Amino acid sequence: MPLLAYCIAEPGSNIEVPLRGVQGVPPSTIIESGLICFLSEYEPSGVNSTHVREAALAFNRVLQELLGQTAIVPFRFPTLLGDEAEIRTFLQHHAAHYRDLLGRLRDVVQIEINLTINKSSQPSGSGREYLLARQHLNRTLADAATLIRRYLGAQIRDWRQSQSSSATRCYMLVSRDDLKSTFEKFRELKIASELQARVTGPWPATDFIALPPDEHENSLQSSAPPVTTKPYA
Amino acid sequence: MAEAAENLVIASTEANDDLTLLDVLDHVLNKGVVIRGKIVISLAGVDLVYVGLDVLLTSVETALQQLQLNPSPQGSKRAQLR
Repeated sequence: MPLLAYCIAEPGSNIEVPLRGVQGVPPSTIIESGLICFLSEYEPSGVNSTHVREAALAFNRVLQELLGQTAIVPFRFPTLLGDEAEIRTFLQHHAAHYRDLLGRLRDVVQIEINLTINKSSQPSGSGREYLLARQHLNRTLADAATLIRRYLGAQIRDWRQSQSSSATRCYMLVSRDDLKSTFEKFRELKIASELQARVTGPWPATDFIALPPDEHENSLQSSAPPVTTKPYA
Repeated sequence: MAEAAENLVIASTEANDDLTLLDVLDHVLNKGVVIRGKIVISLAGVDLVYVGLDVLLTSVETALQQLQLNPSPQGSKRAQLR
């Protein structure tokens, strides 16, 4: 039966393995090259879209339970492997990279802010009028991201952002110790009236995970979107 | 505790109830490490093969067509689907 891989972490005697994983199967662990990997058997036959949704939610619950205890590097759902040997080979090959990464992420979690333009503020009209309105909204999005970064100040350990035509996504690393106070601070945040802001977290620090140097030769890929540490201008 | 402004939503994963399905799916489906494999799964009666970041799920038929165009090196465990 295929194995579903959840995440990698630093092994520690205090980690409580979640009792229930995807498809109700309790996750198991393997330790290899100084890393612990969480897996469970996955029965793929007869899976329909409802099951996939439930499985994705169960997968996230396992990640969140583990993230509450330690830093993790998640696998993308569904990462399915034929057997334990495949994951052991992967861990042996990339152990140094992920041990270093997990060490650096040990005390931090990721928070995200998705800034979007209100429906009522979407530019209308055509030609020059539309372009000017679009330009104004892009500037408003950029300014909001800059203001948030400034507002949170030293509570942010690292910051990245990406932008699309109608949204700016900001990713920040926050110390676990500062998590509560950071969320409290968000409650007092004022956002430009043309915008909507959605703050979520804590998440694993996936947008700060660098690829191993030989990533392309070793069949590993990460999903980090194009990011920039500069404010959008 | 201060109330957040109307145009600001704060959804903590620890409180869980504020999170939307979209929040969760955005993370578990789009973020994280991928190991390429050749596992075949069935979804709604269609056999799908999981091949990695570029084409996460593709039908076996399409994968086989692509493999014929770009055969994997001998002994490689990876599907060459680019």
